[in-house]
Amino acid sequence: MPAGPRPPGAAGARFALPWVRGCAGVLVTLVLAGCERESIRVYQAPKETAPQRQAMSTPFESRVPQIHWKLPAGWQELPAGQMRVGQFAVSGQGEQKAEVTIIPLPGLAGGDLDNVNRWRAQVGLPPVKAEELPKLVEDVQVGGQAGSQLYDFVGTPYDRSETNRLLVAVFRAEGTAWFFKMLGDSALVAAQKPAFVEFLKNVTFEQGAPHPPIAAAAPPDAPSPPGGGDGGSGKPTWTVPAGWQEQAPGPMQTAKFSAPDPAGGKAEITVVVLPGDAGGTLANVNRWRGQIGLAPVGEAELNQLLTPFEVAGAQAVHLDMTAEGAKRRLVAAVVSRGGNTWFYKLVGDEAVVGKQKEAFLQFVRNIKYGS
Amino acid sequence: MGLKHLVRVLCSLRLTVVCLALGMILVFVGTLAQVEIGIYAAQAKYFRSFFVYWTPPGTTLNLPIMPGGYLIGGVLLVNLVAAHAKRFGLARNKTGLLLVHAGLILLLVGQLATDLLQVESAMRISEGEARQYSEDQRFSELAIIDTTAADRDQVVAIPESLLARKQDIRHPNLPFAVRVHQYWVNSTNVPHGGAAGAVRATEGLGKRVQFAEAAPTARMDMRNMPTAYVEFLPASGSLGTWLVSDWIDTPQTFTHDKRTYQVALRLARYYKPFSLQLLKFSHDKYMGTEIPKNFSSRVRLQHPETREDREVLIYMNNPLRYGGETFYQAGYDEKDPRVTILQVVRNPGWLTPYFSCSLVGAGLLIQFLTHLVGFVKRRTE
Amino acid sequence: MKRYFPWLISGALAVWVLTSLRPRREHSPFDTAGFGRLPALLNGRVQPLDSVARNALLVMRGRQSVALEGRVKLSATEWLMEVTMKPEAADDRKSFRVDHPDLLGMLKLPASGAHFFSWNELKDSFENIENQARRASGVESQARNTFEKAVIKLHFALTIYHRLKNSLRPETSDNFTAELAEFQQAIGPGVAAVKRREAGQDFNQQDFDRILRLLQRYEVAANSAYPMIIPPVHPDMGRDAWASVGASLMDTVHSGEIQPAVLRYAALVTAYRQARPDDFNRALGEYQQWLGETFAREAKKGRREFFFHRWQPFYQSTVLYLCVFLLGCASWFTWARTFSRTGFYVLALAFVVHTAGILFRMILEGRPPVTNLYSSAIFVGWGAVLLGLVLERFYRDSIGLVMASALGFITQVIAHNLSLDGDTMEMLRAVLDTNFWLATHVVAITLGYSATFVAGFLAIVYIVRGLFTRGLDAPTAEALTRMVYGIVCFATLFSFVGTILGGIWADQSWGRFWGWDPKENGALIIVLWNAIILHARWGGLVRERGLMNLAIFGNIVTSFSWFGVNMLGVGLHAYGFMDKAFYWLMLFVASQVVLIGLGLLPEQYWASLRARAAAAAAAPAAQRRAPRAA
Repeated sequence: MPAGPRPPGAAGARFALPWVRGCAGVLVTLVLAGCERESIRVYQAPKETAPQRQAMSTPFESRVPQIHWKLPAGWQELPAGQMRVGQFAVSGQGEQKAEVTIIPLPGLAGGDLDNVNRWRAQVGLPPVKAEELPKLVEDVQVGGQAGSQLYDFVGTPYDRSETNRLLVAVFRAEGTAWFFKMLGDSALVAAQKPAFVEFLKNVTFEQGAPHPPIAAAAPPDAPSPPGGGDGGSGKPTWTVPAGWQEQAPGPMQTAKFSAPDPAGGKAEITVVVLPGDAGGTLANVNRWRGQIGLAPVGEAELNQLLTPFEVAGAQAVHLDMTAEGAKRRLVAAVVSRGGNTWFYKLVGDEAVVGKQKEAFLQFVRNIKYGS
Repeated sequence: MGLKHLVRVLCSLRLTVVCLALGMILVFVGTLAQVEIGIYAAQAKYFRSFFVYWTPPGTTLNLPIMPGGYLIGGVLLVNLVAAHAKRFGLARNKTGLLLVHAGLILLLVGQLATDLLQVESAMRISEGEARQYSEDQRFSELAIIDTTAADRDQVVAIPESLLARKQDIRHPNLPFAVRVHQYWVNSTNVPHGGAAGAVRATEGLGKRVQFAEAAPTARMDMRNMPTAYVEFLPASGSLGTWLVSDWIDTPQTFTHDKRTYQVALRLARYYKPFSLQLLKFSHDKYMGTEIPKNFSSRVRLQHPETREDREVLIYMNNPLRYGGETFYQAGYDEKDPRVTILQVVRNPGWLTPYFSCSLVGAGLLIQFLTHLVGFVKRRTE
Repeated sequence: MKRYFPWLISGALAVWVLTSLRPRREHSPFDTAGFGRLPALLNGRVQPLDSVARNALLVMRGRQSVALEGRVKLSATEWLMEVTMKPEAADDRKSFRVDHPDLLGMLKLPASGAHFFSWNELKDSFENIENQARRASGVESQARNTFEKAVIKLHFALTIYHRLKNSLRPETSDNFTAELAEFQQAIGPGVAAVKRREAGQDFNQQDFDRILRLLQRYEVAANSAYPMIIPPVHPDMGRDAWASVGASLMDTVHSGEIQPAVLRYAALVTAYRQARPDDFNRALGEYQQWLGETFAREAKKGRREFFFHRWQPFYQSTVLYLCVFLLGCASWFTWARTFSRTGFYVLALAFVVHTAGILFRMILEGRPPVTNLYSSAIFVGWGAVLLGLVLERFYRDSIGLVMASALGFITQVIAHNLSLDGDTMEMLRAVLDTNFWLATHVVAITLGYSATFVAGFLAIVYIVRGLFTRGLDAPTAEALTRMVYGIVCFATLFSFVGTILGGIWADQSWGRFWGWDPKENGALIIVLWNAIILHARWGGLVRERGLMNLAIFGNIVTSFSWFGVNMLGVGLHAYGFMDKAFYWLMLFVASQVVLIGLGLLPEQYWASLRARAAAAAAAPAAQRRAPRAA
């Protein structure tokens, strides 16, 4: 395609010049506009509520640790976060990295199955059933005492991603479970395992410290965790519906009620609170389903089961599941509040649960939290 | 005489070809360079510069060896405008060409505007959490926060580029000067018992913890973790030398003159007048694989002043456009399945490529069809 | 004769195409085709077991079948049946391919002869391979040397084989049906024993041990299974909740009843192991019927994909392209019209087969034609053939035929090599999961690649014919020039629009229109180059030959953009130079550089130009000027 007819040079130049000038003008404006990036900014920020922050506003040194340790070579101590009393970084050759954390959680004198499955999921392993648990455990000494459990999980390499390895030691004393975790590059963790075991042996606990520091530094608007010798100062207030009899709560439970039916059959209501998300709604729902003899569900089906409902100052969902064959029914409410999750469960014979469902939901709705 | 000659060169087709060829070479070399120095450094060196410099080994000279992106793009833009104005003006039978050139001009200008004005950041939210700010993904700021007031904090944020100058920093909102004793672009943890550096902290976390300088990283999946030692100097005396680092999650606190302050070196934050609360993050993978099938975040948008409170679903290829910014579903945390990562982009020039594409597409189509019709007519004669 | 020749040849080839559509005769008493059609879930999508077998074999030995002694070949499905149900036989089949000399040495295998080996031959070196592979995977993938890559590949192949063995039944089970009967008996008492133990009451130790032993066995099988063959238990809740045999058996503890699908597969396995073809075929028929009731969609997909792989449309079109190339070249020497017409008909036939293949893939995947590198290669060829057919229709001088068949053949070979990585219909990542952008941006860019290659190959025709034959007379040269120019315009349009659409897609996805990503830069370079060609032409900076040389350079530019950017960090790092694909890319680039060099030779070396000059000198009255750029 040939070029168009060319006007004489001078006329063309005059026509083009204004455009050229305009162009240059635009460019200069843009450049100037973009140049003010590197200056000091002053702005207002809202106060940060505790869940957003990783730690308290108290300076690091003033927190009194309840546990002392002897730091192995190659481990560097890092500032601990809200839930952790100890955090260390371990580096190996090249880019290998591992992290060691110490997390105490109160009141978990019960089983490890959910935690084990959660840790297994972290390194990409499928969950196990309760029956298989015993063969995964090694015995280990913590703080000079035997009888603690050590789990060693290596991720599956089938998907060709990097292999992680997780060592977890669980130590229980005085109503508190201490979790010592080492997670990182598989080869490095394997090499560090003896050092980890040695570290566990040399850990010492301060006497007379029934509460881990987390209770002392609990965020102001979250209820303090139950269990231990703390009594009921963190317990919410509720109105017990008619016909419910309060029972002694079992391990891990904040409260327990039974609702017998005069016509026979019974149902039980339990209240449990756990920090964080306690393994996630899906894992807990599947555990409950297993308890009444239903098959587990996947994430997609879970969404269909959950119904959100109104609870003041918190997020809540409830669900209702029935096992036809065994004629058992379970109504549960999961309330996320602050840094904790409250599980309210109504389980028992199908008919009785049906009768108590409305009272149960009302009970959950009217609970007042906070001390 | 000289001006006429210059204008003639500016309008010439030869200049276009030369610029395009130089542009091609630049893009090719810049792409290869990414392998060594990483995408950001390559962009800055080749595409966001007027010249590409080279330092001969053994010297400290910075020789410009070829024109950079801005220069080539600028000359091309001028050439385009000038050539079109001179040769075609607004002739009717050159409509196709006019559209093409107009579209290209719009594209170049729009991209330049984007380059200069775009701000990208990310929001990392856990389920249930509400966030009111997004964080830069590469650059940090030294935030000095006045937490005395009960309702709001006042933040003075010093970008790390100012820290790098290692000069004293003063600001009307700060009752003390900030002296930078040490600043490292990147740092690593120091193994326990490692050698101490020359500068020691006299206050705060730095008394217990140390870091070591590390080479800046060029990898896309890691970022630099800057560390610095700063001293706060009010009118008289000193508030101590503090260790600040991106590694430290917790702000350190001190008081001065009956006010409490916190200091932290953290990713630069961009606060917004509204908050996003993550209600639910869904991340499905194809069964039996690690291939992600979909991501979506259901968030609650709350703006206290306008009383807006609604739920929005953000998922791949479907962002939220609000408040002059756009929120994209960018990623997730491999270790925590309840965390979503949203990419936040402020780009006033985002519409220019859409218009440009339509213009150029239409123009090329008109040109092409005109030729095709003519060709077919001739062949079938 | 000459009149019927085109119809005869194209008719014969059409018959050849059609006969391959017929179902193959089985030479085994077992209904292997029926087994191959059974659906399973692998890589996130439902596919027939035949595809699982083919892809596994491709990864393990680079072919879709296994050669046995004599000329007999074991089809992929037959091989899979042996591996999953009678591994004692399969372990002797030469399923693995090892080429690397160092690796062969380490495994103490002969370095000469065919490089195919069986599981039994490699058994002794497993630990060694495992250690080497683990060490090699610690090295960053871009920095691995060829030995490390080879050992990782072998380890991966061995892993797949092992996992396949556990896919239909636990590897060590001999009579799976009997074992399942025992398991069914053990469930009730076993679960009761576990519950009592948990509640702290006394329990039957024997029952407990038995159920624990069986569950451990199935857990191992569940962890190792490769395809998931048991359809979802509750299809209305989720159609992709397929499970492996092991996982399904472990779930039986909750439900109390073994899934019917597991029992049917067990029947298949037992019948095969005990060499009872009638029982096998009957069990297969029952299972297929059961599937048809609830999983009709998956079963149909299984049948369709099975048919597609049997048919091999792309292999057929490759053969046809070869024929067209020969016919087109022959037409320049003799029988011009006849060969030209024959070539045109055969090219049209090949195009139909090629298109049918693409359409079938689109139906199977439910996606636009281009979704990954493999399908882009297929589509580039398709676009080139389409353009070639159009050009040939107008010019009728076999140039279009030669160009189209050459490109079609080459792209099919490239595609075949790309398919050796395994499944070509893998699921798309979330960000790519949008049919709109796949259909617009990706198709536009691929057509842009196609067109640039077409222009380049037309230019090669120009240069080769002009230099080495006298066939490049003035009308042909002018025709070629117009063709190249027109195609370059077409290429500019599509590559520019495609690039911009890609930017818009990126803007919709993550807010960045242009990120200077290598792939984006590659596309930009193609647009820039096409623009340079056009502007150089308009500015009179190049004439006919220059245009051709520039177009050939476009081949280099496009192949870098298409493949080279994927190798960045591999081919251009110090260690990766010997990567096979990089080697071929460099070879191609070198060939194009040579052609450009040839194109730059002065006029006296050009046979055609010499001939034309001679003719002009001999006819001074009718002198024509040398062709100029129009």
